[in-house]
Amino acid sequence: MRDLRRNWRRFGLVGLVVGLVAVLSTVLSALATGLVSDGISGLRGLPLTHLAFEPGSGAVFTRSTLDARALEAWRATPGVEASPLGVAFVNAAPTTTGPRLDLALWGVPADSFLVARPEARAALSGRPGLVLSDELEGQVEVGDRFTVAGSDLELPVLGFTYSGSYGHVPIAFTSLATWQELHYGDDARGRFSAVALRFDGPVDTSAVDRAAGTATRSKASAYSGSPGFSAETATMTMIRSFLVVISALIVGAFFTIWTVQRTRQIGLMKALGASNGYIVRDGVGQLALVVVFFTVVGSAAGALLAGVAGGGDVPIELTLTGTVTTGVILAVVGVLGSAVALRRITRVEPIVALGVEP
Amino acid sequence: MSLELRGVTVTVPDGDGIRTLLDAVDLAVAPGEVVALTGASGSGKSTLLAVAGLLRRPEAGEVVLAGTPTSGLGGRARTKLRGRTVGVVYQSANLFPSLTAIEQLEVVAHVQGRLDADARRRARGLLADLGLAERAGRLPHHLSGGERQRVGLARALMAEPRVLLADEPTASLDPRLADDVADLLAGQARDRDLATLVVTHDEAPLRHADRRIELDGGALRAVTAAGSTAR
Repeated sequence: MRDLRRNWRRFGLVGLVVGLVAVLSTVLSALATGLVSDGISGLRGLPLTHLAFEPGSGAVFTRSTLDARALEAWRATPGVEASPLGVAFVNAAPTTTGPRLDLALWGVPADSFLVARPEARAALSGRPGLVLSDELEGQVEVGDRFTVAGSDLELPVLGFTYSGSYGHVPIAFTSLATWQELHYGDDARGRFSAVALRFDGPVDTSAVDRAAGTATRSKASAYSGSPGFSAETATMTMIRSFLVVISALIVGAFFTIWTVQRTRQIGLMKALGASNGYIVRDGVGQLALVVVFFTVVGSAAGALLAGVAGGGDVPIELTLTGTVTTGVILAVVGVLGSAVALRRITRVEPIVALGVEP
Repeated sequence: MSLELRGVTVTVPDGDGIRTLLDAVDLAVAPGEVVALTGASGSGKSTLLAVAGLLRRPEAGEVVLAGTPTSGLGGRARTKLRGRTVGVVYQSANLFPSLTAIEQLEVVAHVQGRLDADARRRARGLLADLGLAERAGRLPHHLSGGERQRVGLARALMAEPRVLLADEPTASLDPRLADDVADLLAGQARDRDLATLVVTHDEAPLRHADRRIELDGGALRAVTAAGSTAR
């Protein structure tokens, strides 16, 4: 501890680097959470447990087309609620003034288990229209009319639902019939993208898939079908992993150099009767204090920075769990990084205190 | 005897062969006795000191510390025995640069898990005994050479050892200071009944020793009365 107090500049330097890594890690953690939300929050918010896709579609809605045969097979399965679900990415232009909207358009029947609230059922069972993610509230108003690109259909805004997006664009709901008309025109033939499923208990999905001609995914595994989701999460995970490794290496390198510089002092400690455990505890303990302190400070600064940066177009989503988890991982791995010098400590012979090579 | 070496042999690899640093050395130092160990550079003085202080194991022979034979002891037991039985005064004091004078002593008690109010009191008492009461809060680089060496002696005494070893304790001091430190060291050793072995090239420790032994080529070749230069 006295080493720490009297060499605070040296410890401060390594602490500063650890702190900066913590800042970056916290911001990236918030960005990763934000990107995930931007990619799949619309799907995550739906009350389904599984999704049945066309085989070979890779859980990508826009590659999957199913029809009534698949739906009936799933509806006939005990313990399963099944609903057709159409998903398409569209651009909606205002008929008068207002912003053009990129939307992930979800087509669901009004009586689907996916539509839980009575007012939402009422909106979807009436005249054709759009129920938008409430993040668009303020940009558009109920009653505004939009023409979906590629069709002549004019749709009014009927209301707003939960805040969500899919594939980095806000979600919008419409009735399945409207969705089919927009997507297939006059030749819909009852087609849709996937079957949304809610299981009450265990279901032999393989058997039903064979009968229905579908490939079923759990909700979480279907996230990978969101455009760019897998690449984004893999990239963010890689960057964050590198930061954790870099932090550990920095601490390890510092501890190694510090140990080499203190070789004679370590020998002297041993000559005074100190065990290896005592010396390791003393060294690692001081370093752990530095790492934990600067990680906490860096995480707090990172959270502040993420809070400021999150107000704009950057999809940053700061969560306490994410911030704390990132900080704990950095601190633990950083302290573990000091383990690289442990062998060096245990190999110091007390005779070096006399200035004699062992 | 508090310190006894019986047939101690130390060898090191030397090219394709083996070099003998200590050759079947026998030595006994009684409680309160101050023995000066001299010899040319490379004669094995520091090696003998290291073996006597359990800082290295001999290839053959036995070291008996405070009545305990040490050849059969494992690493932990040697470390523990060393901490509680041996005090070492180093050349140029060898103090911890980031610890004050009082902390140099307290760390000894801390290492042994005994840093309590009594230990702190004893540390202050030791510094006062050696004329360093006013220097207790000073870091090593704020102490003179003589003061540093006295702090080193106080630290060696802190564990209340039975054996005191000193490696060229006056080498970095001017003659007057060297005599003061040598006098202090010998006085403390006798007052505390410590078996004391002082490696030295200087005259000052020789003047204050009870007897002198000389190492030549790793063997004890001559034993003379203290202060004498005759062989």
